[in-house]
Amino acid sequence: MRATSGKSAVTGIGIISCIGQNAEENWKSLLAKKTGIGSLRLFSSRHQVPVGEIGLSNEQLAEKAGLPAGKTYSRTALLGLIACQEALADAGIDISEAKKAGKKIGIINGTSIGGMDLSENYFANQKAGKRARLRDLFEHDCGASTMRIADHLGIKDFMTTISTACSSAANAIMLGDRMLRHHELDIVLVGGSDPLCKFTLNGFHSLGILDTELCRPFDATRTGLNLGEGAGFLVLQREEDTAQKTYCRLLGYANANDAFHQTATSEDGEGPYLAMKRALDKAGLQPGDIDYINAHGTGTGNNDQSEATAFVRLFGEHSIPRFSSTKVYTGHTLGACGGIEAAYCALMIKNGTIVPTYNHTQTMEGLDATPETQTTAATLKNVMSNSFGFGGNVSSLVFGE
Amino acid sequence: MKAFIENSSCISASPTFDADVFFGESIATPLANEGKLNAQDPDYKSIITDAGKRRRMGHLIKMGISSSLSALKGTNYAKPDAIMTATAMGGLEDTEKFLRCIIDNDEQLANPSNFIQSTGNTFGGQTGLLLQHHGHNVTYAHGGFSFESALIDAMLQMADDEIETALVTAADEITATEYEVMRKMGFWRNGRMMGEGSQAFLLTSSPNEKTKAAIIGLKTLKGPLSVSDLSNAIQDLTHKAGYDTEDIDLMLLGVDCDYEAEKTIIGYGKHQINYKKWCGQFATASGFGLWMANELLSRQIIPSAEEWEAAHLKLAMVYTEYRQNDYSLMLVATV
Repeated sequence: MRATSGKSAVTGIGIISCIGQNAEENWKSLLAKKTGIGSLRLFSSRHQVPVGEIGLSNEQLAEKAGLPAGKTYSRTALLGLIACQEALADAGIDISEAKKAGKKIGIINGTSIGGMDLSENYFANQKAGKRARLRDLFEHDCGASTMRIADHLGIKDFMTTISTACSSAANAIMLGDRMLRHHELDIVLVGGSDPLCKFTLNGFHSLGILDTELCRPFDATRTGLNLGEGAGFLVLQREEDTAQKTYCRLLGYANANDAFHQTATSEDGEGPYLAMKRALDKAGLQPGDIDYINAHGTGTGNNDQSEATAFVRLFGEHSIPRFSSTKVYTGHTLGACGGIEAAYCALMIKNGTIVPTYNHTQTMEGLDATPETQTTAATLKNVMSNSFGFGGNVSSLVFGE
Repeated sequence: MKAFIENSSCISASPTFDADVFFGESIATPLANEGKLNAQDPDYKSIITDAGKRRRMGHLIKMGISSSLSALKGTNYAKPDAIMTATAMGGLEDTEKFLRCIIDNDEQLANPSNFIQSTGNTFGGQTGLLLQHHGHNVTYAHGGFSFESALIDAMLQMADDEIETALVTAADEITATEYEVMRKMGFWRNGRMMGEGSQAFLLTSSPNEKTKAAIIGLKTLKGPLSVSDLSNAIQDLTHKAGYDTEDIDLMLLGVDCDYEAEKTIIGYGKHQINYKKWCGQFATASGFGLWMANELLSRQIIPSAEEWEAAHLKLAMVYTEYRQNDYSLMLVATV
């Protein structure tokens, strides 16, 4: 069947993060400018840095997801499943009914770490001379978490997993749209899931980019990021198939490679510039059409400088759209952030409200790019969401009312 | 969905890196090393010439970069429009090193280089970096669907006229731990052997003078599958591409279980080949299957007992099973 020219609509959202266990709780926290970043309790570590924890153990998450006790699920699978369940319910979709109606259903998940929390148990137990359970290693690969989610939801038609570090979920959203428009699928869950774990904490620590205090995106005094955890999923459907009121439409998107450094972003923001520019082109929009940008804004010296430079290049120094980073509330949720932040964009469009960056005091040197610091009512026609990852993998999405 | 194969490259347990030699000589069967079919590594020094960079690369990345560069060599596309990579496990060796290091040293002395190389998208990112490529770059990591997903992405973008060329590369590596885990599960029985390797393809949206074959259909199937599920899927895919199942000249079977039994169950194809005997079992082995389908269609040969012999081939199907969980079908036709 030929591809349809229409757009995909966001018909449901699901979010779990350190500022809420569902979309409504997340939204309330955002409006109250309440950060979820605090001390590390989930596991013991010599690196006592602030993190954004959900505050539930794997057992509690399994119970929340309605899973049978005693089975092994990675934290990635558990978080992802909870967000997917919420997104489907929000869209009013019952998988078994949709299947009976002949709908092709898929899931595309983005994760950077897969079942690493369980792999850590295996190696730690082995080291301690305790019984290391093989089943702790079966969940290791990124795809295993997606498979668990799909199995539990009863999704069989299509499933895949994208692992492009911190832009994983954004890339999942892109593939979902392509599959819909080419009628390979009728309903698709797209987003990402990543948990806090020792591996990532130590990885980011070894790179020296963790802030020891609350992160300060786009601030002159910023010194690094705070890690978070969570999952964010959207239900996408072809807009012509949706009778109900939807959150927004996915107007355009692009993925570009910065091709500068394995972990750092280029000073001139080439990759981010290209991703945003191409996303606008695909959406058929001009830079001036963007009303708000949910920036990647991690709070590292490098990311925010590069991203803001790309803003100046694309939009012009004095006409950067209003923008903010929500990572000061959630922490950097890595592979999940593109999904969580896309869902935040959907909520902002629906509620006509811009959520500001919190903890911002000082404009960056030499860059006239100051994020929103006050919650503002605004008509948001077109909104951009950025996600940049290691390996130069940068992605930009454009949503519209 | 359709994509033309302009060029390809294959690193595997068999001497496939120089395809003219591999198909020009009598049929080579790889030798197992303690139950593992390790890749026959090409001379990485001559491919990745920067010694510093090469030293920092893990085995997965060396294989992936080398097959990718080799697939681009001699084509007009030093910079394809998009790069799609597929690896189910990513840099497993570096992952394990980093994990053991933080556990053994109480989270001290962790080497960031292992962390960086552990992530799934490292070899895709490194390829982009090496080619100074600013186009679409994405990594799929989903077991036996990883490579298939990368192909689907490339073909959809071609159908949308967003790209004309794509470099699609699969890579996975053997590690002692994964082998051992699967051994404890009793997986390495009935002649199953763990393999590794990397296959790269330069795909184009329209044929040119170098094109010999094209991917004209692709389907992923989630297990468990019944015989009729599979049969229906094979028929459906063939019909959609405008063929009948009787037209399938070559069935390339990548089965994990008993090949003889499965061959009978599947049944289709004038000629049937068990392709995993050359590459072993790993998540992205379907990349090897596609490479072999393209080569056999291009060269119009099939394997007999010891030699490659001439055959008239038009249509090939690659059927791949990964741990009875992920199944895929790829339909490949001469151009």
